[in-house]
Amino acid sequence: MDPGGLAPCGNILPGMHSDRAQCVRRWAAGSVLAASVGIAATCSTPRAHERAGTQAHPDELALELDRRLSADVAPLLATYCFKCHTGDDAKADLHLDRLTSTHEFLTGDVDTRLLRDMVSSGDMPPRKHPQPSDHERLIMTQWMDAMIAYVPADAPIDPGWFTPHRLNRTEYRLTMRDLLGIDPQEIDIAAKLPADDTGYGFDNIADVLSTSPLAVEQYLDAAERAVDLALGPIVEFGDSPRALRPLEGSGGQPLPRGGFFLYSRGDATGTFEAPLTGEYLVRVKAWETHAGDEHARMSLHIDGGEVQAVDVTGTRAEPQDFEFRVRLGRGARAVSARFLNDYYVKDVADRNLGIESISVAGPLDEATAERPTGWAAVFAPAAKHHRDEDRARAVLKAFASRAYRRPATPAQVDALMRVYQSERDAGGGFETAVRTGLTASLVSPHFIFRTVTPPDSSAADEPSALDAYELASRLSYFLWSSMPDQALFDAAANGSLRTDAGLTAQVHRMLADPRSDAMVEHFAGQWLQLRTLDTVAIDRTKFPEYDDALRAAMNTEAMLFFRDVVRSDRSVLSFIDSTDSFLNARLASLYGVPGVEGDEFRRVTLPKASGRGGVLTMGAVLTLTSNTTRTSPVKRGLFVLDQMLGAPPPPPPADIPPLEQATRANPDATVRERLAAHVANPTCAACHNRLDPLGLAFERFDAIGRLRDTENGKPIDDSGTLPGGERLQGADDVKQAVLNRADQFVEALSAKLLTYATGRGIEPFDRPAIRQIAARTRAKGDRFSALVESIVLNETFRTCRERTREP
Amino acid sequence: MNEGLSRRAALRGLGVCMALPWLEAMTGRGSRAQAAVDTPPAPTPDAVSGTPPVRLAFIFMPNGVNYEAWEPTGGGGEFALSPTLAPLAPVRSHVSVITGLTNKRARANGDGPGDHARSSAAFLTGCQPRKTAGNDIHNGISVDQFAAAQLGHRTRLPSLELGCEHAPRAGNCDSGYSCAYTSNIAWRDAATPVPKVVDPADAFERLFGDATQAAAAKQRLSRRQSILDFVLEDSRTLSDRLGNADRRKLDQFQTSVREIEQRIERARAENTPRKVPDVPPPAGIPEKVGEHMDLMFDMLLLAFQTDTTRISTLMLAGDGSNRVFPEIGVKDGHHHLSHHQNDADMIEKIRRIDRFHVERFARFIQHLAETKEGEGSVLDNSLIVFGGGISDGNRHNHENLPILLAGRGGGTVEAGRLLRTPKETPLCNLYLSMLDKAGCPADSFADSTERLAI
Repeated sequence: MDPGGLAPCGNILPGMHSDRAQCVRRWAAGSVLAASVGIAATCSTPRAHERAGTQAHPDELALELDRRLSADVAPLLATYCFKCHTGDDAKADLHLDRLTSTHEFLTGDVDTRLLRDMVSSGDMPPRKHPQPSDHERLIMTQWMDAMIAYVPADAPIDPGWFTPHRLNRTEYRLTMRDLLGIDPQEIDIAAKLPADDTGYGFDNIADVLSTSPLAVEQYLDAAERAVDLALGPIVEFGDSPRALRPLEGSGGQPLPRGGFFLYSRGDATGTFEAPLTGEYLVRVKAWETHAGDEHARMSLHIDGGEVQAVDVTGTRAEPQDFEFRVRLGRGARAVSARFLNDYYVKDVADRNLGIESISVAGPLDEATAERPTGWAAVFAPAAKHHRDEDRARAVLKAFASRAYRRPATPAQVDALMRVYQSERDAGGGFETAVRTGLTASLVSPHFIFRTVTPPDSSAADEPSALDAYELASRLSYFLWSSMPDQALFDAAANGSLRTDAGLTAQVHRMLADPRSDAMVEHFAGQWLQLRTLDTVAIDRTKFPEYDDALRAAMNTEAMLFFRDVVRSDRSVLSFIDSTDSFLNARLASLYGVPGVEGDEFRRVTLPKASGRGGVLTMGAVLTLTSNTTRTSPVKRGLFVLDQMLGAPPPPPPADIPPLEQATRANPDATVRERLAAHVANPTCAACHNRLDPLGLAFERFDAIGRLRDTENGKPIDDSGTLPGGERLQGADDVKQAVLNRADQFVEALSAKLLTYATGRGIEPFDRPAIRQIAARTRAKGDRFSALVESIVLNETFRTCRERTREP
Repeated sequence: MNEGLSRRAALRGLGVCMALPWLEAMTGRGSRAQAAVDTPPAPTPDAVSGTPPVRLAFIFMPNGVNYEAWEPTGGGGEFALSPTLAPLAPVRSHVSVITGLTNKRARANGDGPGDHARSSAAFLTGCQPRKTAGNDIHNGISVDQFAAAQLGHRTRLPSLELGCEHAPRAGNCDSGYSCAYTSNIAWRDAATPVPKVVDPADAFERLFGDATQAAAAKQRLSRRQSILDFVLEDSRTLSDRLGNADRRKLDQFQTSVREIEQRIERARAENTPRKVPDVPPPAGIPEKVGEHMDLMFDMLLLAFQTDTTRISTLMLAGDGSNRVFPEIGVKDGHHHLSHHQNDADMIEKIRRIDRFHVERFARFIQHLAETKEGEGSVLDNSLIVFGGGISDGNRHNHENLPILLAGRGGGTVEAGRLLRTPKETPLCNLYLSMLDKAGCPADSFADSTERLAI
């Protein structure tokens, strides 16, 4: 392997390095999508694009790079570098004046990486020459990074690598649900796992998910707990009585040794924890003090219901034993002996009932017992066998084949059997030992990680197809954040998953399944940043209406809407604009939409006057892009550029604080007035002339997304102009502007969903794949299912190559 | 009385009612508690010399400070505490203020924006974190983990990582840097951040959870050991089938499994049940920020006091944190305020936050000083750094960092001074000296140039 880490797959232009420019990964990735359609990913003073690329068919990214080169970079090179690097005696034989297009930089005889490093490190220009400012240096290096990372849109697909993917907390939780039936609504089995680090805006990025001793400790704990929860306690069958003592009751008093003496009508009760539903023997040792013409009459009750009544003739000296065969349901059962016929004549007669003890034995036999679902499922494979070892092997093999998400190999089962055997050797019973094996499989890396094993034959940088089970897992963790179900395992086993038709069928089946709510929650939660909603500390003295219920309602609206797009297979453009949404009374009143009562959410057709429709004007998005006390047009503009158009501007320079106080002297200044400072400063203006107009168009919505006409007593102005001259007036115009760039939006959404689907950050080499996915989605009417299908059918999802460089 | 108060009161009282395992080992009263725990069998320096071990802790606060209100006037032992440091008055003889330290690896150095991510990532590593949103995270080993790698085997937990704020749950953290950089100051190696425990209940569980139910626990430990043996074997076979680059994740997993396995081995060798502090375990994360911080400091105190670990980090928040502090009337986010652009109102609020952090630290130091150990206190046998990786949050500069050093390192350090170091003195010079005092000296650490006279 080239230590410098040369480009993989040979589909990248000469001189192109795959491993350079860590510093600008996000920046470069943003540029992948930067169609030069007015709202580009780059920041520069708008100037007409003068020179077309010199390639045969320069695509829009090449054109955009050329535009930046001529507008921003070339003048700097001329100022600072031409002195030495032009003409016949150009130093280092570097003729910068001859490089006038991206194509020439990439194909010419120039080490672009060295060039970039010289500029970024400050080695060039030499100290004795005039130096560019930090900002100028940044403009040059950012362009060089983007240029180096350039990949033509029609290059062959490079699927990238598949890093062993540790289950994140969500995946762990949901896998435990599907593997062992542990309901996350009742028990969060992942509660104590350490938080997952995020990258590229998502928490399922394999490269970022690490493991620590803390995590391993918690995996052990959680595995033990999960097995116990799913299988219930270990049950021993047979007649081994357990005494319930001390008995408690009414109408009497305790006896020594835990019994109870009933001198009037009442009960003596003990509690029995039935490990299973099944047959039990209840034994009561009782005696009477005889009086009147009847023996003491006693009835046995389970949870208050009578089982049987008997006459008690035994005496305290010789108590009488009674035995009742009962069927008990699993759980805590109240077992009572009731005294039915108290008889008392003062100083003459006194009939009483002594309950010396109550004991319960059982469950008596397996045949009449009902095992919990989890137990029955796990131990079912044992039924065909007789020898403990065979039974254990059958159970562990079947379980591991689900836990490892592919048929367990004999070696894997042997390893689990050694765990079983070591527990048996230490004196453990059959079931204890099997459970230890089950627990072990849940800490195995085959369970904790999803991996892809390269076929032995494949060359290091040749893409190879994921095998059917690897693909099944990739698909199920994408759509369900969990393991494959039986139908998907079957499709992997019978080979249908390897066909386009089979894969498509699974996609549609899985999207329709409620388990796809996981994608709704986790993709929407991160793409739309809904997860951050509860960290926006809205100032409640300024916005008393904003409380937890309203915040929850905002979140619910966004989730329900996203789910509707998935389940009703709507066009993904409905994220931009839509005539309906899901509201309850709280949210409807915030929005000024009449006629919605109660806490229940329902589909509501949005009146035009509400100004709503699509995610950008949802309370959730408007709030999470606000500051604690006021709106933030910059954040709102960034949201549009980044989440909707995939064209985030580079981060602001380090030494320039977020704009806030330029007009602090005037506390009544509107947000718009404060933002005016951006335009005054050319460095700020380069990016903010795109960010601010987009954000300011939402000014009619306050920091909690409520419509308003004034701010600080002044009328709202929500107009603006984009760098290309496009006029905006209000949020509807922003939506229209995005809809006018539907190709770009669909590419941006494809990139985000592809990131989530593969658990890998978008790299410059992903550009062709994203292009294909978006184009196919558009061709199929922008349906959500078409987007998912296009991702899943794409080579980038179905194949992978080895990573060519040690990170 | 509210429960929070009583819990804190109980923890405060702990110093007098609970003997230290170390002390018991030295005096023979607690049989052979500590000596038996230590593996490998080579005697620890403390067992030989009879001096208490030195503990190291690193407390990180985000977003820099308002430096004008931070810097004390004067020099040496004769200095006046600044307004922000005023809460240190009761413990000032235990705390040195160090000015002039620099973390140059937190600077851009060609990587552009992202000072917050670099501030936390480089704080204990002194290394330039590679700018990536995730695909190839690269930093360096942090000083605490460097010490833990050598000293960690002597205690039940090699180190303890605590925090008072969960990592952000969506979005990018800082200018193209993965959240791994902003959320972690402890790094086991260049690619492996060590996650922190944020819920005090979980911290307590981690410290003392497996000390209960001694009899059943033994059986459980042996079962776990056989499971971990299996996991290691499984992991090796899996690793063999993967490509080179992919093995890194499995290596990380294996290292973690081995560490837990060693811990279990040590626990199985323990013959006397460990002491669990006689205090109610915390109930969860308190609503008030200050109470949460205090409680995490209490956990750190317990960890040192019971000798469960000798090395710890505590992140009051990740750098760039935009937390609000309603209890001191600060409703704007911390990060937002830190960019005050000389606005008087915002500066005042930043000073309030800075002081609030110092108050929490002072309280902790007070407790450590009150906790007896040998002839002195636990504090006397500790070295505790408190500070951040940005000097002035308004400027994002990484020179002249706000750094405090508390404790006497077992009598090797003169506390209570104002130590002015020359401009651009590497922060790692301080760490290098601390490693000496802790008994794991190194020739150099990251960008250190020499030892700092502390």
